[in-house]
Amino acid sequence: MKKPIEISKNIYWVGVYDQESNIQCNPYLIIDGEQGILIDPGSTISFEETLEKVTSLISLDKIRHVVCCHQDPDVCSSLPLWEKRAEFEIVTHWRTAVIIKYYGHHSQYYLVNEHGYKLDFSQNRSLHFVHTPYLHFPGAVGVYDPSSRIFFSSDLFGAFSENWDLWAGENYIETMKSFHENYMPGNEILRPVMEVLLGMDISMIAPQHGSIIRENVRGHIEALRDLECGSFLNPIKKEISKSGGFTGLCNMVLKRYYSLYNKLEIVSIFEGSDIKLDPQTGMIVDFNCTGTELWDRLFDRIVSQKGIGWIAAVEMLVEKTVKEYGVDYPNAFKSTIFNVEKLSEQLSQENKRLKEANERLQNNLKETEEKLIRCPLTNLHNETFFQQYFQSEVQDALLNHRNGSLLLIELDNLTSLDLRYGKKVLNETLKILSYLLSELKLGQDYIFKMEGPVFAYYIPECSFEESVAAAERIRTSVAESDLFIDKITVSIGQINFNEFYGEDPSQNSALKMIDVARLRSKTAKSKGANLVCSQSSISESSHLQGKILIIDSDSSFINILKASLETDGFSVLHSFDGETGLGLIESESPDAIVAEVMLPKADGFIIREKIMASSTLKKKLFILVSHQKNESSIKRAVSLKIEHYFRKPIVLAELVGLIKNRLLSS
Amino acid sequence: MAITFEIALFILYCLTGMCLFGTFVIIWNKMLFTRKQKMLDYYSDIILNRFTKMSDEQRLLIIKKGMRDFLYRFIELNQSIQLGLQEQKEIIRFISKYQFDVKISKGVRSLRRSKRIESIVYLGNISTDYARMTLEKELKREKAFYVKLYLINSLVEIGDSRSIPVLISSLIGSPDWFLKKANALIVALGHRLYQSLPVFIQHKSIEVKRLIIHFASVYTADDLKQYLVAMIDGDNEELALAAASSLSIQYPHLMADTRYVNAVDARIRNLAIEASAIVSDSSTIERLIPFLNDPESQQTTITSLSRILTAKPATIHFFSERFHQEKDQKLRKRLAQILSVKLEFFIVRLLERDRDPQKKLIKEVLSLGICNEVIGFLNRNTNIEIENELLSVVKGVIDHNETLLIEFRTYLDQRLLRKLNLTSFDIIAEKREEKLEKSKIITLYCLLILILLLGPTVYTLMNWDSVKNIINQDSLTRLFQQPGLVIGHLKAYVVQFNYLLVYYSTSVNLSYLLLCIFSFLGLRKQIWEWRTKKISYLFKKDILPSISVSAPAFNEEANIIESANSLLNLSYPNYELILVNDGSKDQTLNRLIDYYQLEKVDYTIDGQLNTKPVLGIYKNDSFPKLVVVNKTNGGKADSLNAGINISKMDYFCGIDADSLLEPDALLKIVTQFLDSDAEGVAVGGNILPINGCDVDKGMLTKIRLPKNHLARFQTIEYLRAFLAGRLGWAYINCLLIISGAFGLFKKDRIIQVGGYLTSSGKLKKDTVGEDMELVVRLSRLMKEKKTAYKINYSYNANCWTEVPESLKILSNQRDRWHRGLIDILFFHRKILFNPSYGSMGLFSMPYFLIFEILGPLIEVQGYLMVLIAAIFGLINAKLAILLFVSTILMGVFISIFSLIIAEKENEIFTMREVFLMIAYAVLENLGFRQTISFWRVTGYFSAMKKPKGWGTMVRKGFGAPKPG
Repeated sequence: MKKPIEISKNIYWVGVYDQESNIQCNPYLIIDGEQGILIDPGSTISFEETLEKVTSLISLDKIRHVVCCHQDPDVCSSLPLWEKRAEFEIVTHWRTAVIIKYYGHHSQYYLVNEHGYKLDFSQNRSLHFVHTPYLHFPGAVGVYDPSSRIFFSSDLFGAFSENWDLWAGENYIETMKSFHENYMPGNEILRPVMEVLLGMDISMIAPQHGSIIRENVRGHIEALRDLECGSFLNPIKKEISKSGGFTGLCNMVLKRYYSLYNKLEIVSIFEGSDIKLDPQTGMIVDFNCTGTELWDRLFDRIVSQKGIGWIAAVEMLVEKTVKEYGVDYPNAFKSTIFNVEKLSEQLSQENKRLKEANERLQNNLKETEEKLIRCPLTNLHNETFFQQYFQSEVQDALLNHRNGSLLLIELDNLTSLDLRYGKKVLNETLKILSYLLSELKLGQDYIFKMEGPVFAYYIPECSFEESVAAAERIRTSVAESDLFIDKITVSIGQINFNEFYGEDPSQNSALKMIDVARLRSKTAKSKGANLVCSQSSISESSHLQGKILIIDSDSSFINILKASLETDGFSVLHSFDGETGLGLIESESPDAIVAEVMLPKADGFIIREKIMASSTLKKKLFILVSHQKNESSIKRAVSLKIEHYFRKPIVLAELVGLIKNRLLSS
Repeated sequence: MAITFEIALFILYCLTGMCLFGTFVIIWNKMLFTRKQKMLDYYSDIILNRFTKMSDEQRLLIIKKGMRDFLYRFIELNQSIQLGLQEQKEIIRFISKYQFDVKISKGVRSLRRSKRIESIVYLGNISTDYARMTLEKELKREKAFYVKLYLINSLVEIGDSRSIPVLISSLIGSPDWFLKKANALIVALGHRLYQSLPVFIQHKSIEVKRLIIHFASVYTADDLKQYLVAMIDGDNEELALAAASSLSIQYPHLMADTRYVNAVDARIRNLAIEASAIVSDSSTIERLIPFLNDPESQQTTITSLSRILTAKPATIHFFSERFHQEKDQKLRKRLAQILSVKLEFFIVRLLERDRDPQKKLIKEVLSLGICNEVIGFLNRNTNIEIENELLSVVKGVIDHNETLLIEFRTYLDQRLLRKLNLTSFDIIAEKREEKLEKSKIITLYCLLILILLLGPTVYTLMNWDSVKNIINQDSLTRLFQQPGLVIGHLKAYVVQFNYLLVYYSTSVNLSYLLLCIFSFLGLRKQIWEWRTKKISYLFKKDILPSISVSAPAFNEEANIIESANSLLNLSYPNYELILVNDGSKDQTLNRLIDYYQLEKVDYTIDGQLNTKPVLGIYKNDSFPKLVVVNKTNGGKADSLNAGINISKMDYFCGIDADSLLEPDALLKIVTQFLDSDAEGVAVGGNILPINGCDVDKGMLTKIRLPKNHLARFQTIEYLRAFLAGRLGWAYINCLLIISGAFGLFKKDRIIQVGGYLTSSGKLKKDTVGEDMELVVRLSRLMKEKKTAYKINYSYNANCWTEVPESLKILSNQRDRWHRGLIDILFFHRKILFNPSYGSMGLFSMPYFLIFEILGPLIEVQGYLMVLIAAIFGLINAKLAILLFVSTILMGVFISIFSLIIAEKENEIFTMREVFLMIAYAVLENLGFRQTISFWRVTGYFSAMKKPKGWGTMVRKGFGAPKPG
């Protein structure tokens, strides 16, 4: 180490090994023909020895350039001493130059930013400079020598280590990382530079501290590219008070717990402590200490009651929070036990995740196959499949005069279930209904799930009486069943093949049959639900245009309107008060509602308000008809999005016409 | 003693016959009614479905029998559905072909106004040329203004431009109330009126100018606009104001002109300020702020600026900047008041670093006394940081503001109060007591002695000759030697007292009978009148007055939601419901708040009557009609006064919270005001027992006779007292009692007399009969002011209320009623026998004194004498018959008569129930009536003792199962 070491052809390490210190500085000398260039000449302490080494290689007057990658004293505080013995230009970035001048030298500058980050220092050799801003100075640069493919990286790729060796060994990556974690401001700054380096052809990296990397150069660059650094930064990105203070942070953690564990269990943790939770929301409503204390106590309580596993569950969230808000880790997180457990748990969870992902993938494949022909909810074959299947069956049956029967089974309570319990229960009900139907199914029959709350039940061979009996059996079994959350009923539309004997067994006949069955199930529903309809003539059922509910306490008005609407083919329900009217809206789901404003029990506006609360009902045609129509009542109507508000006496043709236009066009 | 046994027997037969005849009439009426209903249904079927398909001959055959019923049905149908043009034309052609219109027209000359009105309504719907010309002719002749309104309405319904000159000339020289309504009707002519405008736009009379101004507020045209502008600049202040308000309705941007904003007349200035708020732009706020210091425009400016703030939320920064910069303390306060609309906006910003401005504003708002938002926010809020900040502001203010302190202590959560080191404030209700009135008690004693001496005195005078002998005896010892003589006199006295009872009962019942006859006449008139009230007319703008329905509730948690539901769904164009929680000890208020999701609001109260303090007013925008008032306990009268203070309407309707109104009750009761030019001061509703009826969510679903016998007796009693009694009194305009359960009053008159009688009110007196007392005081006022007035009773505005089913509670109630009656009569003793109070002083008040207060004293003595006479065998057949006829049979007859009246138009009870009622009408006279008389006597005695207040009525609630 007493002599310069040639790290590549004509490129020498001219540094000093200081055994007392764990910081090593590495100045380099490049000799090209008659010229020499000194890179990061070093501090005043090491000046004598470095001078000795340089003069042993080259006469000092041949040194025309000295590169200062940045301005630190360990890099270039020796500059004035060199000046006394040689005449050179200082090659550096202008930002560095601004600082360097305080060392008190008088040499000229060669500012790389003004020369395209390039220095042609002999006829066939030029050096490139890589600007590495904020690593760890705005004007920091690295030097790349294209002919030797060495990158003089200055502080980058450096390291502090007790067991120094000029050449980087296997463990150098880790020592290098810890240096960067402390000295480099952040991954978002480090990463783009490393990305640039990865794009360059580098055979060796010669940093100013630490060891020279000549093996696995790429690996070292990648390691830095992915390194999270800037450990002293602890950036305060969010203001704690805006998020509701420590209470808010604690509530955030609690919220995460509620998503993971049983709410009662969580609430019970805090029973008897001075942290009070709201029994409704489960959020902290009161406590008796400062915010930071609350932050500690919350987790202490959880650890003491539930063990370390619960802490691990929110580790990521807490870590994020701690960083985001610049608060301390809670005491519970600081314990070392936690770290070990965390590691093993992490590994097992990783494993589990992989397994799950694998499983999902397989399921997906299966699903996509099935989706085309099966209903995902009930796992029965779906309508598309049914139509194809049924077409061939009908053709066959009509040709051979085989009498089969199709039952379309429609759930009556769709709206009320949706209103009372929500979509989830509705789906569950359909699932249970499909189960019940399969239980009721006889040997050769088939069940299909149609669009909407409808099932198709196909009996390939039966007489009319048998099919009616089957339909009635299904209807009563469903109505009596206790499987469902609430009593439910079905309306069944039935059609037998023999009704179509004599028709041309074309593709249409199957579709026609389905249509007729569908109309009949609608008829059954409109006649009061929980019925089987198997007889209606086709023309009759197509007449059924829609269901209209009239709510008015004036019976003569109802009678007149009813008579007029019924002659137009509508089915009409009525109620004399608002409360019953609301019940009918829920159970019968009429297509249009004609309501008076002044009604006993609940007035027209209250009815409208209740309707607006349901997304399925609010689209229904709603017409107000009243003697009461003044400015304030109109304002109220407008605010409730009522579009049709007639003053009595009404022109009958106008009201009926409106209903006809709206119901028949949609 | 001219009555012989035969005559007595004859009277007995006659009356029994009349009772049977009455029963027959009831049943006959009922059958007739059912037939008539069928007939009407038949006619409506014909009109709707078959009329156009029939030939004229067929039509004539059907309609000839019931032309009026046919027309009635036709008009009824017209109320809810307009027939097609073709059908309508056909019917009218048919009517004019057979000159039905000519026949109907004869009615317009009738002397009876109700008959005249009926013809007018019919003619308006027939709308032939003949009908129109008749109506026009009548409009010129008619003197009564309320009849004129019907004429105008009919002519407007016909809508022929040729009527316009007649319509306009009818306005000239009319009173104000008439002009308002008539104008509202006439402007509905719309473009037809506009086309005739050139004819009368130059008219000089004020009435026509007012019409044009009114018209300009509903019809948009350039020349009308110019007319308004010219009018505002004119000399007549009233017209200028009317024109300004029309202008601000139609053309607010014109009204917002600086010229008007700076007008000298404050009313015009305020209109201009309001208009500016509607058409506001960026400069408006700056322009209006100076008016915050103008005492006459201050309130309007505050509301207008608040409206801008609500409509354009972005202006909040401007307002708050203004607030913080403002140096003028007064202006600053006003700005804070405006900003208080958005107080929560500032409260949540207490989390920001720079929170001083917010704190300043909140402090200012609180010290203005506006604290409901803050209290509400604190009670709802869960964020501890905001809570602490806000509490520190609150603490700073309430430390030196007693009213606010109490407000916070009353309404803030316990937990928050603990944080403030405060305790909750419980309102301790003061005890209310009737004052012991010495002079009243002395008078009562005197009257009692007088009545007790009445029998002996009369006897002595009648038998002076023989009694003289006894008195002339020198010593009493001789008297004992001749005990037979004394016993003979005693026997004779008992018998004569029996005769006295016969006379008394007969006179009571005869006066009742007289009332019944008045009632019958009144009923007939009201039936006519109600038949002509067409709903489309009633719902026209400005025809019916606005009403505040106010129901005081004290410990009514069992019924309150049902009652409120029923009262919120009345059929009436313009009313509000004020529920007053009179410091209930139960959950009454919380039930209401939970059910209607009410929020406490700041509500301006024009406190014209003194009441116990109002603690809070609650509202919810989804129920715009509902206002709930919470106040410290002060009794029913005090609560009603609070209701009057809060009311924003023209009329005030006081009802019991435990009563149910039929949906159209309000319409029916208010129509009593329509058919009279005299000022309608008050109307009473018809009270019926709800016991036994089915009620669901405040709607009477099935009317049934009560199951309980006591309640059934009271049903008969109520029918008699209300329909036969009060209707009769009302007919001769002497009605002095309107039940507190359902009565409608003119609000300004109530305020004028000082509201209901309470100890905190003007007259410093409490009474248990506040409902009757108010009517007496109103009548006195009108009499003293010599203004023509009408206090009426509505036979068909039904209010259903729970009646006591136990003897104890019933006796309490009657005791209270009687004490109330005595109290009021004594309080208003000046009126008694005073001819300057007219029939009230000469008939109704003396009636109450003689038959209601003193009568029972005689009656009960009489029953005692009958008992003694019966024991000693002193009653002969003639006396027995006379006693039976006078005390029982006449009573039965009157009850049956009242049933006839009750059942005449109201289809209340089923046939079976009617039979039951007749049975009870008979049974009632065998004990129940006598018991009631007995309670009146005990009531008399308790009036002489220390006052004992109201007593309690335990409510079962409508939903509770009725005992079988």
